[in-house]
Amino acid sequence: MSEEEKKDKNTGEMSRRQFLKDAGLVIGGVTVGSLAFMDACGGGTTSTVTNTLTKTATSTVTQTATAITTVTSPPITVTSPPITTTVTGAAVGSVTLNVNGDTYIVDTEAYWPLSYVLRHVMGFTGTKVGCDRGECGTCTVIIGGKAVLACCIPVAEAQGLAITTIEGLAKGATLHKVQQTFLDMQTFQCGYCTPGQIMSAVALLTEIPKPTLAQAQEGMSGNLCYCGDYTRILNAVMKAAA
Amino acid sequence: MKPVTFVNAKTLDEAVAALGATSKITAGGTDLYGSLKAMIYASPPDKLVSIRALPDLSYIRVESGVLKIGALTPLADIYKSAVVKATWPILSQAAGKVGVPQLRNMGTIGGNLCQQSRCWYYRAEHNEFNCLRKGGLICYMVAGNSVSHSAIWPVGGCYSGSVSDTAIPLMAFDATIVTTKKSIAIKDFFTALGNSLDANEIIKEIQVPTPAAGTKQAFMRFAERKCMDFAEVSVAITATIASGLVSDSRIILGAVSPIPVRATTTEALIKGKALTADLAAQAGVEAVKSSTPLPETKTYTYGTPGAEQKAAFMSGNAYKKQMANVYVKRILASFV
Amino acid sequence: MADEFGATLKVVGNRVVTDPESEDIVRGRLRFPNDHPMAGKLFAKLLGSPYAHAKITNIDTSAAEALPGVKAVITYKDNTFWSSTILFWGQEVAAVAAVDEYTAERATDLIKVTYEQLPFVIYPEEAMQAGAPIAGAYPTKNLPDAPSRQTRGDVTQGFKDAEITVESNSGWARTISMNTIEGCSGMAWWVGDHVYGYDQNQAPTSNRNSNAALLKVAQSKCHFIARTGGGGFGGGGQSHEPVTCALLAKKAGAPVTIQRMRRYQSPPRRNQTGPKLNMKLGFKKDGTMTAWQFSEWCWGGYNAGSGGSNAWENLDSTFKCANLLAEEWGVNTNTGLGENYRCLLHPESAQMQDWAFLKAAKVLNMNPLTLMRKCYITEDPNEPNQDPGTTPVAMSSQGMRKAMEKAATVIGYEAKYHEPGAGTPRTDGRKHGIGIHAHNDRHGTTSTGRGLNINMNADGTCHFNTGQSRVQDAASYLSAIIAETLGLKWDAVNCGVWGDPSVASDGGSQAGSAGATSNGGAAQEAAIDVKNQLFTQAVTMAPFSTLTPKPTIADLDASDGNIFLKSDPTKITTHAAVMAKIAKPIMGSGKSRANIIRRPQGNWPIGTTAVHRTGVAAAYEVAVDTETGEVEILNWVHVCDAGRVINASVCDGQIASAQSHQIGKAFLWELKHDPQTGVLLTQNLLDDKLATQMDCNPTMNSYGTTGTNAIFLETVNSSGPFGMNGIGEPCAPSCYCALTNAINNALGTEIYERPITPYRILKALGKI
Repeated sequence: MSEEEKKDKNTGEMSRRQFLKDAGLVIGGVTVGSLAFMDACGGGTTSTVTNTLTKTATSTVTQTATAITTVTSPPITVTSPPITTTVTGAAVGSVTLNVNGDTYIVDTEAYWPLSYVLRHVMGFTGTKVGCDRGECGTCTVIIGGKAVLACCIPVAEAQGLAITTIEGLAKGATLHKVQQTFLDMQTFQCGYCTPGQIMSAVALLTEIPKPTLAQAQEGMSGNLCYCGDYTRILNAVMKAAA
Repeated sequence: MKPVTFVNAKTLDEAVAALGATSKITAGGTDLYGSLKAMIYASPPDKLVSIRALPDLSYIRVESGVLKIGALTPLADIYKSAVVKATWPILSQAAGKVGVPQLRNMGTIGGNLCQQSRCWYYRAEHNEFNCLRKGGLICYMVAGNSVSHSAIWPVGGCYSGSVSDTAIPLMAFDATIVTTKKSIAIKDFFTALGNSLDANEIIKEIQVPTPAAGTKQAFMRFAERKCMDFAEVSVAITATIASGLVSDSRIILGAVSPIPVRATTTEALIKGKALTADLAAQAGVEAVKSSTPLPETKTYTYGTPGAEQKAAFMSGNAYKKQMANVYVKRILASFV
Repeated sequence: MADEFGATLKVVGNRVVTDPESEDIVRGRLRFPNDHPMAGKLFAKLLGSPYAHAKITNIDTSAAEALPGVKAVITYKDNTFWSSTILFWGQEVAAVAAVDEYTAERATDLIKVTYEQLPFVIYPEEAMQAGAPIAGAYPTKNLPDAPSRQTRGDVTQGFKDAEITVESNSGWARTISMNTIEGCSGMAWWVGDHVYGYDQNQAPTSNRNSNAALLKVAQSKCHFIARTGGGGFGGGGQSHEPVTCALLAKKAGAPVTIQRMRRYQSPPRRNQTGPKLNMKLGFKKDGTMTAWQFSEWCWGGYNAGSGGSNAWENLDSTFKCANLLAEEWGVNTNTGLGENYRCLLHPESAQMQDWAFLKAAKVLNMNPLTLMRKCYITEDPNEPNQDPGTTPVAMSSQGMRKAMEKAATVIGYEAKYHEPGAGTPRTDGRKHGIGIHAHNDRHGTTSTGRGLNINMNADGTCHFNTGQSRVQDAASYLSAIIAETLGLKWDAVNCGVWGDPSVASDGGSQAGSAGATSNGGAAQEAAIDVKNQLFTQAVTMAPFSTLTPKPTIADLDASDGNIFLKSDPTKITTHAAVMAKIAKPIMGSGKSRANIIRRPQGNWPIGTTAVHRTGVAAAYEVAVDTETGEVEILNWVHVCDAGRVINASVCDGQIASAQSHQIGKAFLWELKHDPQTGVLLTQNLLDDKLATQMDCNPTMNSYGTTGTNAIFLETVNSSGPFGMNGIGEPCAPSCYCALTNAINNALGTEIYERPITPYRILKALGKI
């Protein structure tokens, strides 16, 4: 194996998953599974929970040791979902996506979020994932000029939408004005939330080209930053708007 | 998340036909889809019926003095609508407080009304707590950590707080919800553990009458953070003043009960009277009087030796009672 | 070789070196461990314990392995860093690698685990009581036998000498998660018996070393690179992500990547301890401090040890007091481990310090600032460090007093100060409060052991390789230091690799806000090494070799890419010309160096041992609604002695960051559990409340602008390279304490739990 091959390959064939049932985008199969986590007040444990309101507000802090018990997760039945594999590029079972102006036919599970498909099927890893629950803004992309969360869009519903990701902002070697401003002002610390911040800023400035500070703060409010670079991000947005 | 079948409905009829016991509706993708990824259900649906792309269900218009909002209208549109701001400003404010810009761009008013509880027991991933709302046996909030997402009035044994911000002003306006099957007053829409929609019934439109002449309106909301968070307390009040006296009012409390609360005894208290600072204060007290907040537990003390103060690891939610009281008082005082 | 004393700086302080990867960052091309594509890559998900305290008696992975798409499963039996003894909810039990993330996660539900539940304890107050359930770190109790202890002088006598004594006990600061937006991620794959991969941590080399040992491969066969990652706020703990991936990869015969889900992000890692403290101070009536004593109990999770990070560290050099006793206990509970993160424990202990000071000020009938002026260290450069010990040592800089006075002046503290609770009522009915804080922070400590190497190129440019991970400002100060020392133009120095122990020397643990001072020191030493080699070659060449007397390397200097004779700069050549003649490759290596006085500071001789100090101060004004408990920040200022500012934008970032974190700590952050089951309820970013853009003050006019919020003083640290100071952690306690002081000043309360929620304020006011 050559040294080159040992290193990270920038262009690798992405792992494919072909899976479909019925026509179009429909994915079939149900996996019946139960849960390894027991309901703490359900079967199998003798710990008790009182379900009344009569707690004394001034109760001293004590706890009765719970009896030692053995808990086993319930028996589980698994039904394998039916899989129909398709040849690469086949239309049936694929999703057609418009990303940054180009059309892609992608083999994907229909229920996967757009964020996952962008990153791990299509290789657009510029869109990052922070929570996969719509609670952090990290995966912000632009659709119809609006900032939206790629993790909240099942890829099955993303057909026919013109999606812009961070990779689609620059025109060749020329960065988008917001990107250039963030670069000039070094508006990042670890850099993980930066793509999402930039996408929100682009959407904001598309809608409000000259926002007030309050408008900018609200417009950027959907993007969390654990490094806490908020004030600098706001400064950069106001600078890009100027 | 378990794999699900998708139906991208092209018409409302197609959507209705596809819905059923294990086939659920999705629109903006900001609620149900996330809860499926979190695997919070013992028996999740196996099919999602997406109405995201249905045409002709996103609109804001006024017809014969009635504001009509299509069920798929994004909350961002309602927030920014000059039409809504002109006559129903608290609806715009409430819509603008939902989440963050991205969520308002995606989330619809229909979805906002139908969304599920955010109680952290309900939402604990992999169904760690199979609670009352999910068909389980008990409400875990009662003996649990009730500082967030909790109610000061239980309904049906559930102690979670309602989560729709738009429902609060809509209740104050006596809005009507029009579905594929019926029209229903919003006050009858919510039930203890959900809403009154059938499994194959879809909201089409929300209709909001113009408030009577002389009606004042205000909305106040508390959440721990200034955005993203669901309200822990919210209050919307409309009060029609005629000849200096309150002829009618609606006092609606959100996030303090599984269903938005209409403070009917408080409405009765102020009816026919002139609003004063004093009456407003009485109204605040009355509005929360019957509530049963969850208590502090795991208490201890700290402070200056000899003058210790009490503290608790489990805060309980009495603070919601206090804040709701103060918000009612302040809104009514602002109408003076 | 002498330091830069007396030299005219050409790069440092003159030219800001921007991060060369800036374009990659704004294009989204910077790759984090979960971003690397690779053919056949599998995705891993973890299974965590649903119980807070348990023993696993059986595990059956067969159903998970049988799920189509699953390629490998590992359990606690397959490694030594997981265990069948469960000590907190979410503790790792198993991991699954599958063709996609969602299949992997479904598979975790199919793993059948038999748990024997054990009594658990979540809350430290309970854990400290006799008869409490045993969390598990010790067999019969939840606290160690003895605390960690620091003493100076005789505190008993000190209290006897005191004319007034104040004492208070704080409530519990809650455990928080000190997290990152990027979920802990990693990747690994095998090539024969070599393992490759990506990691995110703050100690690339030591993590590589211990991960190699865990995988039983030689370090030369373990190619884990920790180059990028979500924010680094502290020690970071040992990252096992690439090992988990490697074990799965070996079984699956394919590369494996992982990114932790939010619910499993904080329990095992990235928690920060919350303490409670007893603080006792003794003063003379004129405000002289005679005794200082505190005890601290740290809610440290399942293996809290003896406490935290010696919270007294930052306080003992802030004021003058001959008699000190500090004790710390760790309190073990069945919760995630409290780790070092962004000034662990210092904000809370500093807050208690302030509380006691405010009480004393009240008893002594002094404005708190007056008392601070009486007790706090001065600007006198001869003032020694106050550490316990017999030999006085210098402090690297004396910026604290200046910072304190500046903060007070900018916010108008003396004029605006009022007795607690006695402010003039605002027209809107809310109560005004003002608070100030200052301290002399130990972080930024120059520590030995961090390494860096430099390769000279034929054209006279150079690369440096460092075993630290890529952080935004490191490129800036490392490039500037090397260019300045080597006498190159600013853009002739570039980064080679980051965080790759296969290439670069051990960069140490990037903690303690010591990047500029420690890794920067290594850079300076490496550059000196290169310069020596270049000069040794240069003196054998034209135009120096023909001179009489023959110049030695001490007679040469370099700048702007030229090497010249000090006494006659017309005798000149270039780095490139020297490189053309060199017989063997020029590589320089350096290690960070001890704290010593390197430039004039009072009467301290050059070369004297010093301790690193960064002086900081902050002042906040608030308005508090006494009916709802809501708090608004009206005004704020933060002043930091930055030594020498290398990159003003980066310095701004540290203050912005500190503000965001400390607003979070003060008002929002709290890991919350279900009291009945010990399940972590704050499993997602909705409930684990990171401050948002709207929770932070929108404006921060700072260095180089006409504003006043974030101010940097340059007192030129005498031990850091070119006078640089560490500032990352010092800014943390200051914001937090000044804010809390302001709230209590507004209300006349003594709220010393955190977070300070409306519940706590309403309760303190007797409203609920």
